[in-house]
Amino acid sequence: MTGVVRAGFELTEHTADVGVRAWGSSVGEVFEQAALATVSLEYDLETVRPADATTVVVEAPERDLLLAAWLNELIYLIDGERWVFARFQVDAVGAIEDADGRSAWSLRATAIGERRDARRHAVRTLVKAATLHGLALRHTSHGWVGEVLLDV
Amino acid sequence: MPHIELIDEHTWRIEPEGDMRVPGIVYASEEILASARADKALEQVMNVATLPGIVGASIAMPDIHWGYGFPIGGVAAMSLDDGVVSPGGVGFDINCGVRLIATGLDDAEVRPRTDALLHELMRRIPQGTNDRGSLRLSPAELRRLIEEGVPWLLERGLATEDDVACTEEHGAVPGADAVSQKAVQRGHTQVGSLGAGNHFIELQVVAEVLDDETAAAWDIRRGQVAVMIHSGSRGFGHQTCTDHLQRMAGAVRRYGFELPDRQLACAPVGSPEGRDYLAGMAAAANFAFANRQVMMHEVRLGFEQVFRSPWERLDVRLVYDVAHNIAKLEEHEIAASGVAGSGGRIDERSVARAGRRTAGESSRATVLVHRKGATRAFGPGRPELPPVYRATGQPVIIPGSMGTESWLLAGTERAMTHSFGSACHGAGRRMSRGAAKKVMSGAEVRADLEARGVVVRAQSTGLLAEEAPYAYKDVAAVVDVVAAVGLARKVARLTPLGVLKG
Repeated sequence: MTGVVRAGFELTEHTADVGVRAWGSSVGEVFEQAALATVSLEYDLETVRPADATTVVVEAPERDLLLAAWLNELIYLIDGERWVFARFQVDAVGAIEDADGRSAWSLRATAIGERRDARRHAVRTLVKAATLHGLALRHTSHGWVGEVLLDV
Repeated sequence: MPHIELIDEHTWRIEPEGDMRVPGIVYASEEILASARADKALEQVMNVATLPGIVGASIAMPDIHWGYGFPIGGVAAMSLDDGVVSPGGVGFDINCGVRLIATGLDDAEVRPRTDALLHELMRRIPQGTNDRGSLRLSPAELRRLIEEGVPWLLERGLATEDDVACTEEHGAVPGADAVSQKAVQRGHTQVGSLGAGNHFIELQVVAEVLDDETAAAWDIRRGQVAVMIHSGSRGFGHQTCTDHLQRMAGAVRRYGFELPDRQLACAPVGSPEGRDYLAGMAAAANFAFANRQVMMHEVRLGFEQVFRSPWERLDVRLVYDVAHNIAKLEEHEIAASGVAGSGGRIDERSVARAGRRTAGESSRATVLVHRKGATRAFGPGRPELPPVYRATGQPVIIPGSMGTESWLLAGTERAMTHSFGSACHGAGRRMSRGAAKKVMSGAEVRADLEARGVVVRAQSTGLLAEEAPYAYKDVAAVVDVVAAVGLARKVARLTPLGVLKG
C-alpha cells in the first residue's frame, strides 16, 4: 500500500451517539483506524499490553456493511469475551462469493491485546453497537474514508 | 424543510411527499418543534413514513430527538399483511424500560437513611461497566429465563404473582427464540445489573398528586417513598439487535425495498428474517423484564437491611413496569387511529391494507406497533391490563433526567385513537455528551445536585457530567404536551432523594 495518505480518525459528537470518521490510503487502513477510534472510547489504549492476539474473520453482503460488521465483532469480543485491544492489523479484505454463490465482502484481521483485568483496565464506557445510520466507505481523491455512527 | 402545519393543539402534520406512504404526526409545543427542526428528527419521521405497510401515520412524541433510523420518540404501526418489522424501530437496547416501586414508607422516615439505602443498593446492584449481575445463570438457565420471562423467577423466590401481573406483557413476550451464542455469551453474567449511560436507580418521594381518584385506586399518596429503576437488556439485547440488523441489511435488496437510511433495514413481518427478529426481540425483552425484576428483588432486600423489617411489611411493591423500546403485536381500532384525529383523515388505502381484521369488527386489526423511545399508554378497558388498571388506564412511567423530577401518568382512550396507545418516554437529550461535559465537571454536577438535597452515588464521576440535568430537555414540558393532547393524564409527580448511576 502506498503511504501517501496518513491514516487517522476523528470522533464527532451527536446528540445521543458518537460518529467515527476514519481515513487511510487503503480500505484496510480505514478498518484499522475505525477500530482504534471505537476502542478509544471504551478504555485507555496505553494500559493494554500486546500480550495476545485473536484472528477476526467477518463477511458482509456489501463493502460498507463489512465496516459495521467488523466493529460489531470487536464490540462483541470486548463485552462478551472480555478482550481489550491495543492494535489491529488487517490481513486481507476483498470481494468473495458467499456460500450461496452471491457476491460478498470478507475481512480477515488480527486484533492484538489481552483479556480484561479490572485492576489495570478501567473501562469508561461500553459501546452498544455500530449502527448502519449514515454508514459509508468510499474512495476519494485523498484516499479511502469510512464513516460510522456508534450507539454508546 | 418539510411542509408541516399545526392541525390541533400541539399536533403537527407533515403532508406526505416523495415516497412517504402516510403523513407524519408530531406532538409538540412550538418550542419543542423548533428544536426538532434544528436536527434531523423531522426528516427521520418522514423516512419512517416511507416504510412498507405503515398504517395511519408516522408518529413522534414530544420527547422527539434525532436518533439513528427512527427518531427517538417514534411510534409506527405496521400491517401484518404487507408491513415490515425494523430492528431500528426498537433500537439496540431492546426493552429499555422503567419500573416504579412504591413503598409503605414516608419521606420523613426515609430521608435520614438515604445514604445508607443508596450504599446498600450500590453494594447489591452492579452498575456501569461492571457487568457481573446479581444473578449468575448457566447458559441452560438463561435459556429458560428468556423463554419464560419474569414468571420463571417465581419459583426461585425472586418475584411474586403481583409482580408478574404488574409488568407489561406479564413479563413474558411469547415466542422467544433465535438467540445467538454471542448474545448468550454477552448476557449470561448480566442479569440483575444496571448498566451505564442514562440508566439509573432513583429513590424518590411523591411530591404532588394531580389526580386524587386514580392515585387512590393505585395506592399512591403524597409524601410516599418510591424507587424507580431505568435499565434494559444489557449486552444481550445489543447483540440480538446487531445480529438481526446485519442479516436484514443484507436482505433489503432481495425484498426490493428502497430505503432512505440503512438503519431502517427491515423485512416483511412474516418473512424468515422478520419472524426470527421478532423471536430474538422477545427473548431480549424477557431478559430486560427479568433484569429489572431481579434488581427490584435486591431493592427489597436493601430496604429490609436498612429498616430491619421484612419487605412485605414495608410494603415494597411494584406499581408497574413499562417497556419503551419494543415492537408489539396489538389489536387497535384502525379507522379511528386518525392518529390524525380532527386534523387528518387516515388514508383509506392504508386502512384497507391494514393487518388482519377481527371478524365482525371491520375496523379492528392486529398491527405491529414499533415504539422507539415511546411508552405503551393503554387506556381503560384493555384486556392486557390487570383489573386495577383496566378501570383507570395503565400507569405510564416517565423518568426525568438525573436528579430532577419524574412523572406517573395514566393511559387514556385518546391515546388508543391517536397514537396506537402510546405516550412519551422521558425528557430526551438536548446536548451531546461532550457539550454537557464542557458546562460542568462531574464533581460540580454532584455538588450542584447535593446542594439541592439529592444524594448521588456513581461508579464514574465523569459520567455524571455527561448525564447532567441540563443535557436533557425539561421533562415537565414534555409531559405537559402529552397531557394537553390527552395521550395520558397526570397522576403524580415524583422528586428524587438520591440517585444511583452507572
